[in-house]
Amino acid sequence: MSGDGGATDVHVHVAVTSPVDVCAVIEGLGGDAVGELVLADGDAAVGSVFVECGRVCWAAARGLARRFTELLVSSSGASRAAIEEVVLGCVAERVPLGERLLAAGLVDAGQLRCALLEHTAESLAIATVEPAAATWCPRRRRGYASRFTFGTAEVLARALTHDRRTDAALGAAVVERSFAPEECAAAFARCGDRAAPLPVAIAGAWPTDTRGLLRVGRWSASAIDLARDGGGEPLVAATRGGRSVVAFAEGHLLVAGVTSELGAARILTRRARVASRRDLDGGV
Amino acid sequence: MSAALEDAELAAVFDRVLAARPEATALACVDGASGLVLASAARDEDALDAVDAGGALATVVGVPPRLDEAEGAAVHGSERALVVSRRWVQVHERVPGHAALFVVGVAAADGNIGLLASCVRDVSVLLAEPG
Repeated sequence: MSGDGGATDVHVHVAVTSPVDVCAVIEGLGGDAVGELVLADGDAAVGSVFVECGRVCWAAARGLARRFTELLVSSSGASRAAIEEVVLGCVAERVPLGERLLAAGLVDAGQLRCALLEHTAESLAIATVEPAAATWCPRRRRGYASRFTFGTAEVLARALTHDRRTDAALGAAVVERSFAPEECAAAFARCGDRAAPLPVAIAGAWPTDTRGLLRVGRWSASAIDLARDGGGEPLVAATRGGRSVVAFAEGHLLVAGVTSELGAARILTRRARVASRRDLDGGV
Repeated sequence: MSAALEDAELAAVFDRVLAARPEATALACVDGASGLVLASAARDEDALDAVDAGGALATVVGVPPRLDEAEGAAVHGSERALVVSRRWVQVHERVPGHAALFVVGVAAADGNIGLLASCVRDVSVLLAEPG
């Protein structure tokens, strides 16, 4: 597989069924990857992801042609016509549109970055609603500004909120109340057709890539399943080298994170307080 | 582990510890690779069931998921683990110098986890001492 931006395509076909799979493919390409990951359902293209230096620059999906303009208009208040003119011009010239939009004074950098991330995440979520084949096509560099590109973790975290909104909201709430801000954690949901539970909410800077995150999910599911003894919501923690991986069940979700050695004790105490409040409220 | 401690002697050690340490309901020595309970002692049969479950759990919690890609494919075991379920709390402590051996302590779910952990750690150090 060549990532040097040459004109010769080297195709690598991988099946993807979720934004998690797409991010794992991108991470597997390495930090020098420059090109386009084309997503197709049979002969029909359903989406594409543009990658430079291993970072996600842009994603598009069938049916979202006007979505980016909508996002920019709602966040900046700029005129739709003015934005569309710039966007269409950049698409025709096949050049990055971020700098053109900024130069035109239509959006500021923060608004642009938010819109790009949202559009990219939505595109990933929609393009993988049905299983698709991902084909990697190396391309020449277009010179996307790095400040408007995204790591896979950032894209994945945003994309997951579109895939399973209720679980994502529940998972994010549990993660926030259970783990300290400087820790990393994720909530997972089991999907009937997959062996490993999928992350539905991610928080903090994980010291691992998407595949590592899936490993944590699989480990958590195995440990929690073995720890169940007639119901309840088990908690397991494994400690090594001053760090603990803590996992517990919360309703139908699995929650896991990396904490200090005392992290499990802290989480147990918090869960006990929540349970106690719930019992008191139920008794009123 | 002490060369003099066979499985029966291990069970006797656990019996003595249980007699002296009320915070533990059951103690066991488990092979973390296979989940096999090598020796155990318990105050009741229910706790023995928990010990068997602890053996299976040791094969999972004994090897936490790899977090740092720099670690490569090498398997790095955990030093200790905690399992809290509806009925029981379990503390797993690797026996120093024995990568595959864990001491597993079991107590009721509302028991004192700190005291149980201390008990299990003491037993693991005892088992690690040269004969």
